[in-house]
Amino acid sequence: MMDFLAAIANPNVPFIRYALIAGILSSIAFGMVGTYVVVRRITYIAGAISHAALAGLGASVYFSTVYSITWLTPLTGAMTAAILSSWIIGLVTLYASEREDTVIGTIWAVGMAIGLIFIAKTPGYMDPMSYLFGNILLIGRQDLILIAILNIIVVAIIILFYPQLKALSFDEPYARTRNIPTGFFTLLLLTLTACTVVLMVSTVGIVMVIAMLTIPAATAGLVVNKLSLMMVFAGIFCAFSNTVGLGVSYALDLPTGATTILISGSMYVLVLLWKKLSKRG
Amino acid sequence: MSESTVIRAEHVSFSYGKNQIFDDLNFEIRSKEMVTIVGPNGGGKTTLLELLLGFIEPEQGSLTILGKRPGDASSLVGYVPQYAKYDEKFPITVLEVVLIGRVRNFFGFYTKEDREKAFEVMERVGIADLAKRSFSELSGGQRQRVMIARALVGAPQILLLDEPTANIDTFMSEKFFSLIEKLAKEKTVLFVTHDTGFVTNFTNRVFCINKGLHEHPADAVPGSLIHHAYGHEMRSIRHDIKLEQPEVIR
Repeated sequence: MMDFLAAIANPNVPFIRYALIAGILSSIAFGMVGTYVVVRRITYIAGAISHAALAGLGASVYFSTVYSITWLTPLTGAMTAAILSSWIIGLVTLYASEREDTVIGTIWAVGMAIGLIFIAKTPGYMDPMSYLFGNILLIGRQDLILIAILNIIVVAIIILFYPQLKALSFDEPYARTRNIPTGFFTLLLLTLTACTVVLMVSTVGIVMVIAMLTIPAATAGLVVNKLSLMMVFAGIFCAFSNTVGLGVSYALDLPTGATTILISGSMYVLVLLWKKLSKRG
Repeated sequence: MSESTVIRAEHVSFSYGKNQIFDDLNFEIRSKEMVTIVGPNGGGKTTLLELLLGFIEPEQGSLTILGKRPGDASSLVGYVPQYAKYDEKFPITVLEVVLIGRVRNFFGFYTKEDREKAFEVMERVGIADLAKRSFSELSGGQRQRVMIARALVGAPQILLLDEPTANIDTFMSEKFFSLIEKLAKEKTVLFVTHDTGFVTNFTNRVFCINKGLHEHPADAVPGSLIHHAYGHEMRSIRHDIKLEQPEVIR
């Protein structure tokens, strides 16, 4: 533990500090958006969006390497692909007669396939594992700025439209009778989900980011009966999992993403057991 | 259109693809009238409900609520959907559910006035003491009252209830009827139900819907009419008399 604290304070190993800041910062957005993902039961959609982000991530790595486009960072590419896929899924869900789950599954797999092909064709050695399962060494100062900006945007929008998003999530047909533009808010929520998953791609990776979006929110849902409180507690649980996950992985030399998910999953199981036992008692 | 007409359908036609649901539907509902809409599943009850809520528009003819298109008359209609559709685990309190009835359509938070109106209406339907309780902890009857409070908090002129007696036990059902009876004295009330037993003695008219509409006063719905509307034998339980055996309509 002391080693971990010393590493955070050590100016020669900034990546630990960056990972900690990224984890705590993104927890605010994860708590808020994750709560909507859980109560609206759109985990599968969020999973497709996060996996499709690999297409943009791979493309940005390829184009920035081959054509020396320096401003095209992996996070920028991932965010673009995630937002595009969220709009496709949203529009199909709202307006098309196609089977929704088929479209979601297709975007999930095709997005990953595009990303892996771009990574394979990028000159030099490029390990897709870092993006799939996270690598805190990938977090730079520029990424922290992007994470902070995205975080502010996501939080501001969620607060601004809180009554409308709550009405939509609880009872969509009724929200329509109140003239709430449900299509617009559905797309907005999916766009926010896309922006949020990108915040933690570097830490926990594309494959596992969905867990951090849903597990802390699901844990919070076990202990509170208000949506706003669920968001606050989900943020706290997410920040706790990120911090403890980082510390434990550093101390035991384990992959940070996987350790963070295990901490989060353990918390969910413990809170669930506590709730079941306290009901019996 | 008479002055007291609140809902008017003129030559309304609607179909889903090749499936014609309504062809030349005509009716009028007057102010403070209570109308029960019955019919089998697939007969068109939900379509009529969606037309009245402005979710869909007639292919032909016109449907108006106080002279407006249903989509423009949302503030005039209080909608009470089937409670069984809700997520049991949604984290929301009774007060928060009722406040949704006053949600702004795009921007804006709830005001002090919204909260006062919410408490006023919760008091009226007898759920003020449940304000801070979680919606998921309530019984079927209590939830139905919360839904009615949410519909009433926007001060609508028309109350539209979809399958209101589903998931309510007999005892709660009686309390529920007495609440609706009171509301029917000041608002136009429309029930949509597949339960013919719901045709009570305080309903003014009954609309039997099965790919068309048969209108009838509620005081004596003859078996022949229900048989015609449903297309098969029905068991009818009348609320105004007690029978040893349910009456079988042939």
